[in-house]
Amino acid sequence: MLVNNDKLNFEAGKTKAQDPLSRSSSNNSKVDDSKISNVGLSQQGQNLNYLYQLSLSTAQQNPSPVYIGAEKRIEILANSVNEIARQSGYEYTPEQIKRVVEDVAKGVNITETQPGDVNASSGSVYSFLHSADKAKLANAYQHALDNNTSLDDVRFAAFSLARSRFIEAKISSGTTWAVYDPNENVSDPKSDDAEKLEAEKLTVESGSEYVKSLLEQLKEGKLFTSNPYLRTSLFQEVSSSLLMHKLPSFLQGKI
Amino acid sequence: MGKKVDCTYFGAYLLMVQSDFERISRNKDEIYQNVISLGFICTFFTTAATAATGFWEKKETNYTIYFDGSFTQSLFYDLQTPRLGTQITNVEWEWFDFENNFDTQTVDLCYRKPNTSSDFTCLDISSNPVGSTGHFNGFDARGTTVLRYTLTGGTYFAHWDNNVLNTIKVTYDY
Repeated sequence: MLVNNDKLNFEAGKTKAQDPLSRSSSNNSKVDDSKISNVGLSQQGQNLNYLYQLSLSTAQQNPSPVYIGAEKRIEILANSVNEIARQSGYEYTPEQIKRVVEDVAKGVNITETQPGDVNASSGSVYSFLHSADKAKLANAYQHALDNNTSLDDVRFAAFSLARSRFIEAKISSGTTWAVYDPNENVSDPKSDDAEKLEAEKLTVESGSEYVKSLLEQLKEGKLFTSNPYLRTSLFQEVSSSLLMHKLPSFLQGKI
Repeated sequence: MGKKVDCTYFGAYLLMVQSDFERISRNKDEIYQNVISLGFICTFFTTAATAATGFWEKKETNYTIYFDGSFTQSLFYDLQTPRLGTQITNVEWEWFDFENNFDTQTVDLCYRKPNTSSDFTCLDISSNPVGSTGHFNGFDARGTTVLRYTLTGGTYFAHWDNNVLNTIKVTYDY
């Protein structure tokens, strides 16, 4: 529970209030001091509870993505709690803010993802990301937050990289990997141009409007232009490969 | 459909004939000459016989995907397939979409050898909901075929309509 009597020094006031000897032996000024202290701490507790509830609600409504790593997620959460505290008009100590951040992090289960299992029947491809990958994605995510650019772009790049890492882990564990070529069984091979056109048509016909817009960006060589952290060769390579149903070049050498 | 002639029967026959020769003549050169002759006969009959073709086809539902970036898989196999000597000659599939308005859905078709729980080889078939491949040719048809979905974008939980069934058909020789 967030509002802990120990932490807020409620115990001192309660002890005095419940101790008849103390009460009977105390003079009037002491009783008045205790009442004033209780009222003051109660208000502080309410303020703290308000900060916790609002921070928790905000974090639940806008969950940070797992692919940026727990450390970055907590940093983003701390920024959010500080902002809510600032807007509340109440004074909070750094220790209180820190405590609220820790409690909200538990409430929305911000923990580092366990390394992925290639033989699991279900799981998340994000658990195959390396720590360096998460750091790069954290930079991209922060840039998107600061500049109000597309968070979908960051997610798509994160998924593309995570999918590549998943395949990489499968290959490392001994699985061979290939991408289906629809023309493999065709006895009369088409020309290269015809194949390209057909593949392009298939790719464009599948996926959401967002993916179609990414394909248009890709054709123009302008994939993720609003986010410089996603313009690196790694994110460009994995994202364009996913869009075109191909393996990234760094995996082609491993199959 | 013809029936494949199994040379093991001829092998047993050869051993039987060999022991008879040993009892009658004890002439090893003669025995070996006869064994070699029967070996040729075996080869002739095996080559002359036509291999049988079989197939199995399975339809399976799929499981819920709970979070963005998560994957789930369904297994396809048929234990009625002959225990020994089958070789896949073609694999066909038909898969359907999740209905969570995803941005990207990847679908992998993987093969597991009999009595193993890890994928031996995988083929990314995301671009083709219907298709066939020779990628798994030569593998034991009693193995397991795995259809794995991974999603990003859309709403979660992404439930699968249990009335929708994905299909895998494995054709094999034996």
